[in-house]
Amino acid sequence: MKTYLIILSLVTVSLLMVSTLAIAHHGTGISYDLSKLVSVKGVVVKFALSNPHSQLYFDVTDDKGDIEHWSAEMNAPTNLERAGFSRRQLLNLFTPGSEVTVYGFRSKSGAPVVVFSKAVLADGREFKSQGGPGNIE
Amino acid sequence: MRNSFMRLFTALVVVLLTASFAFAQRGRPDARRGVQSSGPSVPHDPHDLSGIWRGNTQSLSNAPPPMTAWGKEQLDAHKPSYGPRAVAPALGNDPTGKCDPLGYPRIVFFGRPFEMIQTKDRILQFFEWGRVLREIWIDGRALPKDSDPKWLGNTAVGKWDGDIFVVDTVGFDERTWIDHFGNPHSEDMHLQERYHRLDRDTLEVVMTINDPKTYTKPWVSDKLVFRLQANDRIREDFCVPSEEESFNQGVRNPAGGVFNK
Repeated sequence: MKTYLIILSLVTVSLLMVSTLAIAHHGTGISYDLSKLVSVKGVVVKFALSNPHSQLYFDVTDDKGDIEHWSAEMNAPTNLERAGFSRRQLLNLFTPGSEVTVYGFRSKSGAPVVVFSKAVLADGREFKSQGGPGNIE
Repeated sequence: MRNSFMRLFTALVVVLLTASFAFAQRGRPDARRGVQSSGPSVPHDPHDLSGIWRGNTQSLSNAPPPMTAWGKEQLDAHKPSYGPRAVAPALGNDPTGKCDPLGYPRIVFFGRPFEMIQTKDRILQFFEWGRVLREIWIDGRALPKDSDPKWLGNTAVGKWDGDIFVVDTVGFDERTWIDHFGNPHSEDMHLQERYHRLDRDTLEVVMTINDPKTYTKPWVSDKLVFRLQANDRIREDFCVPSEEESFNQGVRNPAGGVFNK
């Protein structure tokens, strides 16, 4: 019984801590469905380290060969700078033509736009959100 | 044993639930903003406010005082992307979406750091967002009787009251919002700020807004806390209209369901 109560309390406390963080982000990602993480595989078109938020543009080709233009809303440039990333590093990571899998939360409008969580390049390199509504760490 | 455990467990749940809702409120800290700790405190001069400071509050307090009919009219016209009235930025009209100046005091609530620089006749607030410089005059001048409205306020004057640095500002441009929840103010707003450096690493500020045209009583803030960013520096962070437009076209507008705006 005591063990059961301890497990119950740990589970409840963990859930409450997670909900605290989730509620604390309410309103910041109003344009995105933050309940469902999606992943999209495509090819990098452009990375823009610019205000108010950095952006990754990438093309996704479907089974029929049709191309859809996607974009990802990323951290503000000063957030990335404070996290230790230089423009050169980021441009080297997101080289146009590179294959990339982007994880994020899709727009509520259904447009091919996500708020960025993580990118995995074909060579295994990863880049994660440095905070904000897309952060999943 | 079991009863006492259940009491402890219940208390813990209540505390966490309270914390959940407290964090969800308007004036809540925002964990995203990454305010850094500066390490153990050391003796300090309370009359020296210099240093880089960063806070994580988003408004004066959880809720403003009741508004006048004019104030409510302004609030209704503001369509923010935060708080209970939030709409997608593409559908809103937050002035910062077009790179209009945030104005004062909203720039304090924007999550970026600011530096306090003391000179002989002024204390300067150097904000990272837009690298904006606000002058607080400490040369004994009086507030102007008739002040044209300005984004940061026409004139700010400061004086020491013991260890509290008291700043009065008048002449505000009413196109600015108080915070990103869209709370309004009029040109008649009188803002008083009371800065208190509690220790080397902690700056506490209490703001009071007197604006009878907008609010039925003074809006007194919570104790707003700013932490010294000893190892940081003011970076370049401009709102660039051409970059904003590009972001709006490529991300913000389609994410909000607006195309070819």
